[in-house]
Parts: sequence; structure tokens; C-alpha cells
Amino acid sequence: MSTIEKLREVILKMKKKNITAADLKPEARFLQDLSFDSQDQTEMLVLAEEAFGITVDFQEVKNMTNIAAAVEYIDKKMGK
Amino acid sequence: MAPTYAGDKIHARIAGLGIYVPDNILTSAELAGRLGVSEEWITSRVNIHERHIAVGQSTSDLGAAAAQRAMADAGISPSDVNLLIVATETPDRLVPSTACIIQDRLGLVNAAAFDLNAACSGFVYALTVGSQFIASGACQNVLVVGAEVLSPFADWSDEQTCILFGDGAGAAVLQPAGPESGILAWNLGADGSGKDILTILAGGSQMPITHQAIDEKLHLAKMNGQEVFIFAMRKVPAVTEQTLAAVGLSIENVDLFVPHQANSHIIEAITRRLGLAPEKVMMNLERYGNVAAASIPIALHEARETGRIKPGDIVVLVGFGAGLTWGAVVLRW
Repeated sequence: MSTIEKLREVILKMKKKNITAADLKPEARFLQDLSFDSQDQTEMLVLAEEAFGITVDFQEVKNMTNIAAAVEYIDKKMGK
Repeated sequence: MAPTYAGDKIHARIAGLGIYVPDNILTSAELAGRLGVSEEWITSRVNIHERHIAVGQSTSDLGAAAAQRAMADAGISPSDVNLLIVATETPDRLVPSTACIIQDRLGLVNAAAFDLNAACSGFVYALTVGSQFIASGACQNVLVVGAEVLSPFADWSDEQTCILFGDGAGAAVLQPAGPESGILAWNLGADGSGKDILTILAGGSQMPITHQAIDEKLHLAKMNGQEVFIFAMRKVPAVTEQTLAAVGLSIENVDLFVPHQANSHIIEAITRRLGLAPEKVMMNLERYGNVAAASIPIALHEARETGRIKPGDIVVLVGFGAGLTWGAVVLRW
């Protein structure tokens, strides 16, 4: 499974209202398109830690704006 | 790795529960007015609508009242208590312990008494410590109190933190139980590298109270909310699963999950991660706020009073907070 597919699974587990897999395109922005607040973003990243076996440095993800950036960060942490 | 244990031959069961909260209520509407924010600003952030605030009462006053009710609930008298443990981060005084003040107030003449500071994990820590005195056969009645008067330590001009806290107390009487019931397993842990995430800096030996410390509000609680959220999300689900697994149980076996009532976002995120149905999760922080070591017994007492726990149920209590500390117990009610 690709990183983005797995990340979609993680986000759908958060059961945010009105979010479907189709909304989770690479260019989807957390704040504007997905209505994520900072706690939602933190929740997603901690769940991603478990799903991908990584440890997120939360200083490094302060300016993460969209799904593509999250995928890129996760891939980097996984050494891809 | 922090200890998980499930080997007690004699289990400790909760034979009595009692709570006490001050009469004075501070609503989020009133607090919003003082802070110059809207009520919705508070409730959407933390889902707390009101909290009880002590006026002229200290931690021992609240703790003693809760303890008295727990003893009455268990049908024991003060002289039956062998050990009193008070979990608090807001003791009456630095010395002596709040436990000694409560021991005197209630006439627990046969009880050893001490305080335990594990912040918001305090009640789970104290319950676990008490259970070991039951398991060893040393004690027949252990009184465990979680009591806090947090309001004097809140910065009432800092809207990020003061909206959270409330005052209150809860108490439990532990007695020996058969092998099938009571506390089946526990897990306690700490990570002191997170000591600055949630702290009161001044007032101890490291930074005695000075005029300057007070001017800089260093005698009040400081918290990094995001760090607490990250810690809780990383730790609480894993610790819950680990403690259940120690007795061959999994999350599907849980009848009621009673987490520390930190804020609703943390509890909901933990609940989703664990895959627990909301009806299996006890939440009452909307009426009490975050009462630190008192939050779990207050929630547990309400769960019992409202019929959400029946004999034989698997109940999980999980605390997490400053230290950083965490603790879980799995009980069969």
C-alpha cells in the first residue's frame, strides 16, 4: 500500500465529519479544505506514527499545509 | 519498560466510593465574561460548561468530606482504616502531608498516612499502591483519596489554561477480594524528561517563593497543551491495551473506560484510536472541569450512581498528566 493510501486510512479513522477518501487528494489543505484544527493535525500525525512506525518531530511539521507535504514527511522519516 | 503487573493472589476491590465538590459553581458563561471571550470559545475548546471552585476550603476539607462518604458507603468506621493515601498536586501545606491533616480530621487512629504526587495520574497511582498493601495481606482497609484545590494555582488571566481547572475530591475504600474480582492488572510509568510540559515552577526548594517569582506568575500552573495532547495520544492507548493484555483481555472486553478528564478532545481522540464506542467511555468533565487527581474517582462514582457499571463488568481507569506520569488499572467490578 502506498504512503498516501495508508495515510487516507489513518485520516478516515479519525471520523471527521464529511471527509471521504475522495477528499484526501495530495493537494488537499488541512486547514482550508479539510477543516482540520491544530489538534486534528496532531491526532493525525500521532496515528501516523503508529501506522508507519515513525516518530514525528513536531517542531518539523509546524508548517505542514497539505496531504502531499504529510506524505513527503512520512516517506522521509521512513527513509524512502 | 515501566511495570505492568497482574500477579496478585489477593486482589483489592473498591468497596466504597464517595465524592465531594464545593457548592460554589463558576460557569463558563461567567468565566468568559471575565476573560473577554465568548462562552462558545470556551466550550468548543474544552467542552467544559461549569466547574466547582472552593471558597475558604482547602484540599484536606474536600478530601476529608469525600473520604467520609466513601467510608460510609463501604460500611466501615474510621478506626478500621489501616492506610490512608492522598493523591494530590495541591496539598494544604508543603509539610506535613495533607494525608496527616485528613487522618486527624477523621480520627483514623489506626492508619498510616502519606501523600502521593503523580499529578493527574495520582488516583491510579494511589489505587495501585494501596492495592499492593491489600495484596500483601498487610492491610484490610485502605482509604485512597484524590483531592485538589487547583483554583489558587490557575492563572485566571491566561485563557489557555484557566478554563480547564476545577476543584473537587473523590475517595475509594479498598478491601480484599476473591481472585475473580477487584484490580486484575495495573501499569504505572513516568517520563521525567517531560517535567516542564506541565508545571508549577515556584514554591519548592528549586525556586522558593519571592516577590519576583510572584510578579512573573511562576507560582501558577504553566502548560504546553499540544505537548500534553501528543503525550496522551502516544501513551494512553498503548498503556490501556498493554494492561488489558496482561490478563488476557482486549479492548472488546471493556464495559467502561474511565480516563482522566483532561479535556474532551483528548478523550475523544483516545477513544477513536482505541476503537471504543462512545457509550463505553465515561465523560463528565463538562460539569467539573479538569480536577487532576480527583477526576477519575468523581467520574467513577457518577458511573456507578447512574447504573453504567454492574457487577462483573470490566472497568479500565487510566490517568495521565504532569511528570510526565501515566497509570492504568483493569478492574472487574
